[in-house]
Amino acid sequence: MEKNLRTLRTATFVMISLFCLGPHDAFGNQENASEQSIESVQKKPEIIIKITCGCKALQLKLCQQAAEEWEKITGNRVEIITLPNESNERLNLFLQLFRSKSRDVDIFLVDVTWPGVLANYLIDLRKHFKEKEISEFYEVIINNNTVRGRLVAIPWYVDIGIFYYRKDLLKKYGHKIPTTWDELEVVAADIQNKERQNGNSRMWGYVFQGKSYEGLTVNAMEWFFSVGGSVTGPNGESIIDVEPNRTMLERVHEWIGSIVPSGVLGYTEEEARGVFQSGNAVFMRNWPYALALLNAPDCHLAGKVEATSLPAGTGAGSGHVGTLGGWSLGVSKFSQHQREAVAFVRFLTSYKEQKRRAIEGGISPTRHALYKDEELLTKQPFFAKLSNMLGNIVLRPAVQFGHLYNQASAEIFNSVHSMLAGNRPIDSALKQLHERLSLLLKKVGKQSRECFDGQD
Amino acid sequence: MTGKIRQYFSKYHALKAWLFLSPCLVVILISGAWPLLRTFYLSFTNTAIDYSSAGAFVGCDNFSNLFEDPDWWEAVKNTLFFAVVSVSLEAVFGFCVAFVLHRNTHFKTVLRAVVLIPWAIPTVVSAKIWGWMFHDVYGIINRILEFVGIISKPISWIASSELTMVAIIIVDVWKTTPFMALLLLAGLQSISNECFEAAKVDGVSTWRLIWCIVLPMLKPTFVVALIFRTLDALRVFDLVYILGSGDLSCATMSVYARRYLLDFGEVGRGSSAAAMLFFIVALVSVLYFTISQRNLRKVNK
Repeated sequence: MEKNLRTLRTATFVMISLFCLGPHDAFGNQENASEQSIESVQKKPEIIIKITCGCKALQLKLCQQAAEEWEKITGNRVEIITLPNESNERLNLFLQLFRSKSRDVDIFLVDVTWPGVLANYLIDLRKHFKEKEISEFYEVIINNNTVRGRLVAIPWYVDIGIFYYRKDLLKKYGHKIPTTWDELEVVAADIQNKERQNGNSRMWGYVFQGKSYEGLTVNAMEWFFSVGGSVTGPNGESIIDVEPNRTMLERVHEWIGSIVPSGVLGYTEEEARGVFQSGNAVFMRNWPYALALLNAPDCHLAGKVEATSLPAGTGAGSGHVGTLGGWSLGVSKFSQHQREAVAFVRFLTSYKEQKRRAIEGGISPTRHALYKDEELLTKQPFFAKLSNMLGNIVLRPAVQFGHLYNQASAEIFNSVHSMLAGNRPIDSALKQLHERLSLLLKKVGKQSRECFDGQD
Repeated sequence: MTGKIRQYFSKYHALKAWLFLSPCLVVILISGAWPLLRTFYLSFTNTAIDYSSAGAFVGCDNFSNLFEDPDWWEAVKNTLFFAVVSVSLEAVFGFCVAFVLHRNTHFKTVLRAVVLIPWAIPTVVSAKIWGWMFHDVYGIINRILEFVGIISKPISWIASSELTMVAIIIVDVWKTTPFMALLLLAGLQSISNECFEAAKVDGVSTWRLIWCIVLPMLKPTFVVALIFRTLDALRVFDLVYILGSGDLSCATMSVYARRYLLDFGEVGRGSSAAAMLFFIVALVSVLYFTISQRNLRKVNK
């Protein structure tokens, strides 16, 4: 007993002394330690830039490669911080970091809807980028990222809602690519029913993102604008309660359970891709990232999938539109290495790096010159189509709702979700949504006048 | 003289007790009282994450806005529904499991460990796993139900708010029944074996044994277990947040509070929701305690 106690005491003493001495000294690495300290005196301490740059496997790989390249050139170090998959959760994480004035992250991945929300925490990049450099990016995104005259993030890659179709199935049943919602309904129902008769009982016509989250707002924007509807008017007032929006929502509500699985009300991008990629859907609305994955050699759909613009309505003001998505890179106000961080942002958004990402990952660039790059277009012919689509984009009302965009979007997706699920009649729900958005618009006007006047 | 010494010693003991308690009290003050008071304070201000003039005192505005919001009352309704249904189901199943475990003496230790597995898995992990199992296209639950022939086509469990609530309750019952069972098992084991033997000698049926002997004797344990579970159920967050797909129509009070605190950055408004949640939980616990006290008094009489 006593012996045990003594052993315990010795062990504790040893552990405490190890702890106090620190790893170097305790393990006899005296020489090493002293060497290191001499080195750090002679050489400038290496700078570590911490960046958040996506979480999907491909994004992460490309980002790592770029980081290694930059590390070689500059001798600085890059640490990649992985992010949650869902954008709302990313924003929450960022807001918590910013709120605590955290220095843990230098470069932030900023969604197109966030500049208004994050503007106060990001540095003005117009002070670091020349006017000519900025003009090389798509103006729409630069305008989107400019808050009260400050450019808070440099566009890194662009996203736009596109329409995926199964080439093989269209050919098999003798259909053309649908260009209107009417045609979509007919073709989707026909192929779905015939495929089911032929044994694929899980076949569905169309999938999109219907979960109650930001992605549903994105889809709703496309529905509204494709039939001539809108969300906010020219004077920044809510005009969501209009006839085209209402009929379109009624139409989508009818799809659910007939040509769209009712589970779509719980799908995000990846669930929709899961259904489409397992061969259980004819059409899909998604971002361009899925194209490379669907045509990967190890995917059984390789060569059978193509993409084009989303279908449109037939009434006045209709058109083929896609919601603008995509991510930019911003530098934190609390970063201790702003100069190096800006340099890394410049490297990541450069012509060369964006071209590499486009060729290797099919990631859409934000510089117009790249859409005319011969080498890129031969390797990724889809970008020729995409450059046309980029002319018909829809912006989510991030500018109008400013720092209250999240609340506005939540109002939209919650309300649309309940309409699609059939929990609330579309008429009254849309009217209520209009009232709530009007209230938010009034509030955002008042608060921005109160708080943001004369800043910077 | 002796009285003085006794007084001195009792004073000394009390002092010593306070001394030993103080580290614990300090920890409780820092980790419990401070955040709570701060939440109360924030709920009377317009503090917001991205709104620079924030932090001004606004009186009861947050609370009046909260009470006018139909979403809040929906959240209260959802929480109460969830708490009542899940806790009652858990009590019934937990008792069944406990009773079986108590009678079965052969594998008691092994079974007890096995039963605990759902309770041991972190809720977030099990919620994610169940989320995939409930998936309408690849989910195993639909496959099994179809195979058995209960349903003819897949149900989309987590798409509509009613079914999502059902799914959430199923997962919660799966997860917390073991906890209930273990608490009740401990209670069962404290009932002296003579009672069971006497009942056996008298030839009492199992139903009567449960109804007239076990349940009345288990009452104190039951009350404690129910208090624990109800308080837990009223604060439910992780399951609803993950399975409920962010949908407001099946959100609970804590999901609502989080929405305002983080998603919208309106710390003041979110704090007022959190404060209300605290009051509701406090009210329910006071209610429980008074009822159980009255029962105990009755028993003592």
